[in-house]
Amino acid sequence: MNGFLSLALVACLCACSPAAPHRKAPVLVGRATDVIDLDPARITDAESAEVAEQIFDHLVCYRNNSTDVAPGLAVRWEVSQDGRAWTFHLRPRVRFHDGTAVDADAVIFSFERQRDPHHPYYSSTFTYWQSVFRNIQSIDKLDSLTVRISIERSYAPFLANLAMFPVSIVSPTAVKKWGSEFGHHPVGSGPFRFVEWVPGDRVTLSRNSDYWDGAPEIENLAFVAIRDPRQRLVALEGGAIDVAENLSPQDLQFIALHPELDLYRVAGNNVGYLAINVQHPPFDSVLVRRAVNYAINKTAIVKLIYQGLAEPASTAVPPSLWGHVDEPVYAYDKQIAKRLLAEAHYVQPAVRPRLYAMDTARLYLPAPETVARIIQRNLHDVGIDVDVVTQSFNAHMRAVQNGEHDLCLLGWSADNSDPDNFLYVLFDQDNAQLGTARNVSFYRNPELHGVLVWAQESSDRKERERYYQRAQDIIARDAPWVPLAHAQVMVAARTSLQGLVVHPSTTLYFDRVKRR
Amino acid sequence: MKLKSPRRRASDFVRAQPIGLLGRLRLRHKIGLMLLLGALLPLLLSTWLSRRLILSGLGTAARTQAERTVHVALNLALTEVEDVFRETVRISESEGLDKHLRGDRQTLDAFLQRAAAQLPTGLVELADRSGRVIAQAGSADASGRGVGRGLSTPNGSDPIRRALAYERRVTFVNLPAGLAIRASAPVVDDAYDLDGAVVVTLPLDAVFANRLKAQLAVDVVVFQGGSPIASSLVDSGGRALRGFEAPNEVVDAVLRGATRISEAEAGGRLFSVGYVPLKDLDGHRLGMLAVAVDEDWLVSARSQAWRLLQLGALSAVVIALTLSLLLSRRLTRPLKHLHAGALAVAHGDLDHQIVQETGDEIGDLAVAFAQMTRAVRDSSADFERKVKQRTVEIVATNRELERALTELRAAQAQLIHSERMAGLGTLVAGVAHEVNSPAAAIQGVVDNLGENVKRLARRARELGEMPLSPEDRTRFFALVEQLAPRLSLFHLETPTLVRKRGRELATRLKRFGVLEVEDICRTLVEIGAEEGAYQLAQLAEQVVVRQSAGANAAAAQASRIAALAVLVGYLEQYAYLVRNTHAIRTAIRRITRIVGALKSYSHLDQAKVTVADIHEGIENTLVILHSELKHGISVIRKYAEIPALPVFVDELNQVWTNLIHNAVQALGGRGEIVIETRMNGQNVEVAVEDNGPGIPPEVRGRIFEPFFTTKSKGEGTGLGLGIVQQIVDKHGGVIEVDSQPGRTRFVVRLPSSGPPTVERTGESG
Repeated sequence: MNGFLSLALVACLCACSPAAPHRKAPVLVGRATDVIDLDPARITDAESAEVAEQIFDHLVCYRNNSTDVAPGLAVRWEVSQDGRAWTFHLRPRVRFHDGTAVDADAVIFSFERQRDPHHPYYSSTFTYWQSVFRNIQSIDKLDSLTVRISIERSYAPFLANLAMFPVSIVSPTAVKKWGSEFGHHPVGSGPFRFVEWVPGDRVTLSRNSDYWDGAPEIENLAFVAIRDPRQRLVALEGGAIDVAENLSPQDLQFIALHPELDLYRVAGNNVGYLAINVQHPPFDSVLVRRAVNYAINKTAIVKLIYQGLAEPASTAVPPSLWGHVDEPVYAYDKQIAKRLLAEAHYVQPAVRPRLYAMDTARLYLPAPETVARIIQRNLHDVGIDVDVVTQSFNAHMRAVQNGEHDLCLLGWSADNSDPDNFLYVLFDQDNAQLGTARNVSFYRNPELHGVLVWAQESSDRKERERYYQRAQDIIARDAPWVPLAHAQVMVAARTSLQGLVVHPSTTLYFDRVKRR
Repeated sequence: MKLKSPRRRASDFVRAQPIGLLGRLRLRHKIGLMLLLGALLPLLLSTWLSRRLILSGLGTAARTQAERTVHVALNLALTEVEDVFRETVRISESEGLDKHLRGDRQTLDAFLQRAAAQLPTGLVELADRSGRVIAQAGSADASGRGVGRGLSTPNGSDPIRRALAYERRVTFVNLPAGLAIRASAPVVDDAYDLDGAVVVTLPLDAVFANRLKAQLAVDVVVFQGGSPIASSLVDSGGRALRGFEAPNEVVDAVLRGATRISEAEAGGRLFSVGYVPLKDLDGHRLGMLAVAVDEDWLVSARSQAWRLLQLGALSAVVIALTLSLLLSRRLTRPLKHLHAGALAVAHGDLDHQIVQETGDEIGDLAVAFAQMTRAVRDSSADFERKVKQRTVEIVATNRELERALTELRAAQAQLIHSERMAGLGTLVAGVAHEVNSPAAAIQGVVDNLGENVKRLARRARELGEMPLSPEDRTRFFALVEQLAPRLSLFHLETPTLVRKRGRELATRLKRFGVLEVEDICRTLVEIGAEEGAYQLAQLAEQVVVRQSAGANAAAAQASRIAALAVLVGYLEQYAYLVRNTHAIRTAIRRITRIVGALKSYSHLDQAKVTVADIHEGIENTLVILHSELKHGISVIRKYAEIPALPVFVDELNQVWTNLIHNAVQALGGRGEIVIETRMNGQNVEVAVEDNGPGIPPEVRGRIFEPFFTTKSKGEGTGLGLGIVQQIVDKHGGVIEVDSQPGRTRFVVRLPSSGPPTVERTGESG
């Protein structure tokens, strides 16, 4: 009797030995905040964009770490002579996660619902469309796998814009089914399909085994929100999460030296700079502006303020982007600065020039106030005395867009991977309108304008590169800015995770990830 | 009869035979064994379980704790790294440090001393803008000695260079003295202008290990590469130990980036050890950090469990033996009573009573046994009565059977006889047919014979009247004698051929001046006497000479022709005569042969075994069946040398008749029959083979059945092969058939020693 019981006990215990299947455990990604919306047309924040990028495809995309456009849902495309008609040939036999076909109708639906205010599924919250895709006039169906998009005028960056998340291709069936709730039940054709979203906690995705570019290796992927960066690090270090984003640069050493963690540093698609308001004397003089450039100790700022997580900038276009040109950096030389100021007959204005800075850290500028102080000190050393004005970011934006500043610290994170997104947006006269300016140095140069417009209209990459070379040369010469740094994106992951792609746009891609 | 109390007498006690491995064990031994096993097995099982699950679970817990703790230790170490870094940055940002760098040496040293005092054992160094180390301060260790040697940074070396490029950095480094944390930072002023660099070095020594131990409550060992360099361990005397050696495979794995758990012994204690790599900023793994979780409690738990097991086993054995002793006695007593009772019944005491003593299976057995005894008693009387009755029945049945057997034998004999009669009937019909033709032939000839002789006589007279010299006459009769043998040969030439040959002969005779003798020539050809043509012509010439000397040619010719006609006419009739007698002779010979064969075939008076020539029997049969065989059926004989066998001759002939007759029937008038004889060991084999259509497979199995036939009514009773089988059996032989379309072969095999028994009966009928 005894023996039987013991045997039975053994059997029971053996049966319930828990070997949790390693493959099924989700890859967990820790970020600072939860997603806000998963309807790509409505997204404005990086966290939601990152998740959406796993669920949806666009017509074209960026492959791996490059900023070159590659075929996505469109296998090939042609542009008409006048540059206004773009014809896209769709990949056949691709299906959305709900089984419906990805065809011309789906593409047109995805665009039209944003473009046409009379579309049954139009929403005024589709903000991106207005700013980026305003120039699309119509989308026509040529056959079930071919669409033609007509734009106002020839605009080369258009193709790069189509790789952005707002124009992801969504399942019309799902949108019709869920209506305005589509953002909580997203259906795309991407490598991962939406499983559930527990607001405030996590979003869970699972593998799309029919993905046209090859099914991902991992079964489940979840994005969790851990507000405190230190806690995020602890979770990563303890193995509770596999990837941690938005970590504090102070934790760089800890991560770099931890045997079970890998540090990924990718040059981001951004630039931090000091803009000089060319409308306000004495900074209307190019000599003075160049003096300012020579006066500032950029290396120290990049190394110390960014704590090693940045590259010094010589131009607005980051080195990771095509079209970048290595302009000569203005060296840190007080003597030259002083000489230039003397040449310019610089006199300290009665009202001290004001250096505006925001009071919170930005992706492109970790410690604005400190930087402002350093610059103040640097300028003082060459005879330019400035006052530092710090305010909240929104207030700062309003102020600088209105041209209140003489100098201001600002930065820019690109939307797409096209040099136009930096140079035209930040330096062209079209963008120097008071109140809405993005060109906060209010720099107007007709020659530059011409070059930038030609570059926009040309569809020849080589030609565009030449134009942008010219543009950057002009800008460097006229020195409306002191370019400071391109901040790097720091992401930490456990060493057992392989194949993580950290894109310069700060989006992580998980379709090639596998666990060792 | 009352139950006798069972006394153990040797003769009364029947022992069972030992069966199988445990055969010699009695019930009480088995009970004892079972109890023992029942006690020991669960004990062993639970011990094994507890060892596997509980103790090893505890072991796993210790290992898990080691793993967890080593991660915490890593955390703490990295936190110290962060602390050192922050401290270094703080030092580099210290108010007025830039001034001190440019100021006097004393204040600088004091400043550095203060800074170093903030650190646990370590070294703080200051370098100027050119990279030269201009001041350093170390904190005192536990013994009060200054620490510093072996930790200093060379001028212009990497950390200083980087710091002078504004880089703030901290990493683990490999120093001759061991591993250390080294942090470097630039010294900048308000404007972030560069004044120098600060380098702080913190060794990973015993003090460091003890610091970690204080927070972790486990011992810590630091390894440089694979060798232990510092630890918090002390031996039994309280002296600090360097640590313990790590297994090679652990070192290899950890220096490749893995975390490992292992066991180690140091200072007389056992530990679960967790190892984790320490790497620098370039990814090189410089060494390992290990935590050692004490396992002594585990060891003691194990030995305690072992002691308990031993105790338990001992008590189990004692209890089992005691119980088995008590139990067996109770069980075996009623069994012994049953034993005695069975023996009593076996000895014939059917009134023996078995009492049920217990209510269990043994009691059931007792009750059943009593029932059995009663039943045996009742049934034995019944049994005897039944036996008597059966015997009577059997005797009657036997008599019936004997009668039936006799009748059967008679019927068998009758059957054989009728078959033979039937066979004979066929035989007689055949023979009659055979005899008929020669008889008819004789009749025909004899009718002709009279005429034939008359004509011969006339021709002889004519011959006598012819003027021939006696020599010529002699010559003529000599010619006749000469030609006589050929004349008897019967040529059946076609009339066309006869005419042609006749014309040719006439043409040849023309040369001799014999003309117009075509008819005569034709006759000569017909009777087969062509050769004599010349001689006859000569004789005829003689006659002409004698008869008509000097007559004219026409008259000579006429008399020549006339003479020839007489000569040839005589020859003709003579030829007919010869032929007729020959025919008669042939016919008579035929009849003689048939009769002879018949006589030897049906040895009706010989019902005994005779040594006979098999071939002769077969030949006789063939003669009898000649009429059936002649048209279109060829008989091929393949006779070997076989001895004469003792056989029932007429019966065996019946066999050959049957087989050959069947073959003829099967061939349907056209085909080939092969009769083969040979020796096969001690047997003689006779095979009759035909190339007929064969026996169909569905029929083949039944051909030896009596009355089985495929022929329609009236063609035969079908007894044939059945009787053949019986006759062959009687000879002690075997008959086999092998049939395919195109080849049917019956083989009769007879022993050369003859039939097994010589029967003299069975011929009645």
